[in-house]
Amino acid sequence: MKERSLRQLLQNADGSELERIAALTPMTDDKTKKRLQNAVQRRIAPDSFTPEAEETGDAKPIRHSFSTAFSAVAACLVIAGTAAGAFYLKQNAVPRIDPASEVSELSTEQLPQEIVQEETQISVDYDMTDKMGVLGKMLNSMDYYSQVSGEFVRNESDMVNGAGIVTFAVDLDAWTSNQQLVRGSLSLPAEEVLQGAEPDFAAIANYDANGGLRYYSEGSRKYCLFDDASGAWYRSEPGEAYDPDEAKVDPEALVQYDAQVHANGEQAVESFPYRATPANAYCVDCIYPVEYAEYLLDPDTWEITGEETFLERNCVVLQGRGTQSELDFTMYVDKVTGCLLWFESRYSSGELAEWLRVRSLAFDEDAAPVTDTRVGREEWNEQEHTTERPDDIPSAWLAYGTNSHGETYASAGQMRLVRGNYDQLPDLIRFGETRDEYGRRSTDCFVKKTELFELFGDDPDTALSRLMQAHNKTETAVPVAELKLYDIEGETVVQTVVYYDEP
Amino acid sequence: MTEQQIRSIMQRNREDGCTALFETYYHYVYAIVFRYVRRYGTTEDIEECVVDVFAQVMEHFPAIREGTLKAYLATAARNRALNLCRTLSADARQTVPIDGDSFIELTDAQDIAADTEQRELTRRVLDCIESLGEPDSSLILQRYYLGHSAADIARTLRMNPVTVRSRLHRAVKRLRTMLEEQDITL
Repeated sequence: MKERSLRQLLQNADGSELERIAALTPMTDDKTKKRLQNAVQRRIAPDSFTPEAEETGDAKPIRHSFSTAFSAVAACLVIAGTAAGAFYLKQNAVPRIDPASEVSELSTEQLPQEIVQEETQISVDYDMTDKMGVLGKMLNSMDYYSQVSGEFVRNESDMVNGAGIVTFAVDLDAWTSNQQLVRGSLSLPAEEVLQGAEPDFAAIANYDANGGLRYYSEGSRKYCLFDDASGAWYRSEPGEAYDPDEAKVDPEALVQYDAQVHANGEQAVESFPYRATPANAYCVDCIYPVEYAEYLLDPDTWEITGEETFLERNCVVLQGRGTQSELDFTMYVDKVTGCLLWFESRYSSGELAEWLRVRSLAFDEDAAPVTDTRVGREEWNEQEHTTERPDDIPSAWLAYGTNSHGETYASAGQMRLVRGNYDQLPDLIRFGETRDEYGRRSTDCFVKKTELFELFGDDPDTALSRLMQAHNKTETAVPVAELKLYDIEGETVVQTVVYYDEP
Repeated sequence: MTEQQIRSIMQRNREDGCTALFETYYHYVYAIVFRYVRRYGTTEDIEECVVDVFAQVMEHFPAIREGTLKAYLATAARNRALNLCRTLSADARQTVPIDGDSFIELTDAQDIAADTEQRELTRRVLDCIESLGEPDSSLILQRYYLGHSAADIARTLRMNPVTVRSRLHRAVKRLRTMLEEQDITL
């Protein structure tokens, strides 16, 4: 049989086939149908056919009224920035929480169902001149592209003048992604890189052999190549299955929920409503900027200050002050997709804190394809949280820093790699940092491995897990232990953290 | 709703009868009008024509013989659509044949056997599409009959656009397999 086009076959259907097609699928949405039905009713209404009315155009309102109707619908649904549009989004497209009732009873234990819309909720064309529109598009950016690829450079906060370049390709249809992070310490001032200078990684940090990580994901499984030189690939246990009917996140409900959380004296939304994405690692900063959307949860702290064209894409410019960090931030958010193209936050002194600059970005047919970087690799090591760990961790990973006493110290990233292996943990394990009066990181804080294990036992998993639970304090908890935090030399006690347990 | 039920409602209240008529035949009439006008006119033209068809049927409703309502609607829709095509094509200096059948894009339009084969093929393809079940059958027709984008389909079927894309992708794959089993290559 000759090759034919499905489109041609169907569009040439006639007679009873047309009736079958009409029975199988709606020809228009309900709104259009209702509008046309109203038009018919107007046409058959007795007083619509008076000659006077016809002369004025009222009696034959079809094309004219359709134009009006289209204008009205466009004003409500499409044209950004109109009050009508905003009203429509708020009243019809986005479910709301009644501030006087349901929100007051919410806790952070479980996200309110209202934050995620029903799966049958129609797609929303967010108004990008409206704060909730911008937030909504950022929280649901994956609804606005199928494929995306690009590259961006950003700061790496656990390194001195650290920066990383993320290169990625994501295919939502195939539910795959590949991405690579290369990072190191900049020789150039970060400010210059943010303004477009080529990042200089002359001094690669001792993060791993090549200063890079590679990820590939397929379905619910993620594969990670920590060290290209050793050829050691790790794969995750299969995660939750991709749910194609996943509901979108309602920005307005989330904002109200966040306000209620703060009103209850809690710090932040604990269970942020992340949507599933195959882009499960670094590139989400750009293409699913939900972490940055958290800056926007209090609409009183930021403004849409204008528009900019960046990388030939129209962006809205957002400026404000983070409620938690008290850093002044600027974002460029792509109007079409909600992707983040530029981010900078600054201390009150004006010094650069966190930053991100997209260097290239392409969507759908322009996007580079996802390539399977695992080709040729058939044996897998299970990832860090399983019991199967490599006995012999590549020495490149363990190129820890060394202080003046010869003690080794390591960043959180390095510590994760060797978690579970006491001997390979550094002498000083980085726990956090203190901030100066401008909010800048001033002193890195470390726990001594010996003291950590003396306090929490010999099992590294348990000890490291407990280490991170310092702030878990409930109303009934009682202090059970203290752990000293030292400076990088392991001499000066910078802070003491208290651990609590339920009696 | 059956024709008899529509007539019954129409006798009690003309406005309610019009609603019943519209609810029952809207998608069918739209499909017919779309079939002809899509090549010559805009969505606005199609919608205007659909309204004209229903207005015409309502105007002549008392005179329509019992048992012929659907056929009357189909004929009215087809004729209205053809007239509109001629008007639109005259504006665009195109030629629309008087015989509406020539709109059918047959591989070999002169050949009655080919016409028959084409119709049989369409029927079999529709059988396969229908057997996909909802919402996949609907997604296929939205995409390949109406030519809608994923965003349009999402709006019409009240689905997530991501869902539309992923389901459509899988549905086409399934359909292609089913058709290949019948020696139909798309």
